Amino acid sequence: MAAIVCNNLTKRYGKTTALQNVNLSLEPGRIIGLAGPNGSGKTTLIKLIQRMLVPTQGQIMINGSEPSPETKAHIAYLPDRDFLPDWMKVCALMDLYGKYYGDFDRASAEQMLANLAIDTTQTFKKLSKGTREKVQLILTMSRKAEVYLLDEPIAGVDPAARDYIIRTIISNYNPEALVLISTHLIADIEAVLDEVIFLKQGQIVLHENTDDLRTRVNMSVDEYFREVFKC
Amino acid sequence: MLGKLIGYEMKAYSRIMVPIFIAVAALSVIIGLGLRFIPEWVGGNVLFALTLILYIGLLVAIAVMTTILGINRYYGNLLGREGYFMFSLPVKTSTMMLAKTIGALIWTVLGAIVGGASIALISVIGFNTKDYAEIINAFKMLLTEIKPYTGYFILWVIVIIMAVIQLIVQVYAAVSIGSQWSGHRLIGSILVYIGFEIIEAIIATIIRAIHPLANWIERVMTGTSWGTTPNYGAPILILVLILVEIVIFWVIAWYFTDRKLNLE
Repeated sequence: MAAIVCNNLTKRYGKTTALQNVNLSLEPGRIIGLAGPNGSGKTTLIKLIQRMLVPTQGQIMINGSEPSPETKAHIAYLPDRDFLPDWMKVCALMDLYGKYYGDFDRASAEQMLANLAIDTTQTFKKLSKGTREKVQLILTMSRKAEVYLLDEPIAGVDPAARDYIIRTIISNYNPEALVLISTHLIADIEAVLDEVIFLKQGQIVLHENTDDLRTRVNMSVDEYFREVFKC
Repeated sequence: MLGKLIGYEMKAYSRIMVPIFIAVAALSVIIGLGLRFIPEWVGGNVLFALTLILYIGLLVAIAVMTTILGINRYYGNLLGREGYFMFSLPVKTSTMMLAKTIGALIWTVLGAIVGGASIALISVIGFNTKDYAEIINAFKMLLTEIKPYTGYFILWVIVIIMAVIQLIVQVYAAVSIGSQWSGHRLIGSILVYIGFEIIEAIIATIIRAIHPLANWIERVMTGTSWGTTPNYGAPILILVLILVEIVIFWVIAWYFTDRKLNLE
C-alpha cells in the first residue's frame, strides 16, 4: 500500500491557489525530495499531509486513512522553524516526546545528543540556533515513524551542519518508512534521494526516480532543477 | 491524552505562577508578624506601607499573569510557533482546547484561593488569640446562617465557575479569529473580542425591546429573593445563558482553530 496518496488535491487561500490538482502516490521505504522555489506549495503540501490544513478540494490518504490524530501518531514532522517550547530543558523535551509518541526511541536520542556533546540540562532557548535545529532533528528522527515529513531541514544552516543533518536522516530513519524532504537546496541532498518531485506554482511538473532522471536528461538533478526553475 | 495535556498546562503555568504564590505567602507572613509584634508599623511607617504596596502589587500580579498566561497558552502555544508541535500530536483539536480551558480555570481558581488564603494568613498571624477566636465565631455564625441555603449557594458558585469558563472560551474564540490575519494578530484578536461584546449588547437591547420576553426575564430575575425562599430562577436563567454563550464561543473557536488553522 502507498504511504501517501493525493487525489486531485487543491488548496486555496482566498483567491490564491497554493496547490492545484495534485495527484501523487508515494511508496514506503523511499527517500523523496520535494523540490521547488519559494512559494511553490511545498510547505502547504506537507501541512495538508500533517492535517494542519484542510484541503479545499481533493483527498489525501496516509497508509489508507484520511489525515487524523491517528495518522499523526505515525508521522514524524520537522517544520521549517523553531517549534518546541523554548522554556523547557532538552531532557524535558525528551520526556515530552516519550509521553506523546509511543514510537520515540529515547536511548537513540540520548546517544545522538551525547555524540554532539549537547547539554540536556540546558533550556532550549539558551542553545545556539544551529544546536536548536540539531535537537529538533534528533527528536524527530528518534521516532520510529512510518512517514517522516522534513520541511527545509537544511535551509539556513552552515555546510558542516548540513552534512550532519543529512547523515542523521540517513542513519536514523526507519528503513521501511517514507521520508519526504522539502528543499530548494537539491545539490546537498541529491545523493540520498530515491525519487524527486518538482513543484511549480502549486502543480507537479515532475515526479521521477532520480537515477532514471539523471540518465534521461544527462545531467544531475540539481542542474535539471536549475534549468526547470530558471528565472 | 487529556490528562497528559493538562499536566503540560500545569507545568507551563506553574513556572510563572508558583513563584508569585510563594512571594504572596512570604509577604503575608511578614505583614502578619509586623501587625502582631511591631504595633508602631501601622502608624504610617514607610516600610510597612511599602510592604503593603508590594503585597497588593503581587495580588494584582496574580490576576494579571493568570489572564496573560491564559491568553498566551492559546495564542502562543496553539496558534503561534509552538502550534507546529501541538498540532503534530496525535490529539483532537477539541481535546487540546479542553486542556487549555481546564488549565486556565484551575489557575484562576488557584489564584483566588491563594489571594483569600493570604488574607486569612495575615489575620491568623496578625491578630491576637482573642481577635482570632472572634473571627472564627463570626465565620461559624455566618455558616449557620447560610446552611439552609446551601443548594442556592452552590448554584451561585457553579454560575461563577461557568462565567469564568465563558470568559476563557470567549477569549479563545476572539484569538482564533484574530489569528486569521497574517499580521497584527493580537490587535485583530482584541478587535474581535470588542466585536463580541458589541454583538452581545445589541442582542440584549433587542431582547429588552421584545416586551413579553423582557417581562418574563424580569419576573424570573426578581422572583422571591433571598430571605424566606431563595429565588432559584435568577441563577438558573443566568446559568442557561452562560451555557449558551459557552457553546457558541466554543464552536467558533473550534472552527477557526481546527478548520481554518493559520499558524504564525
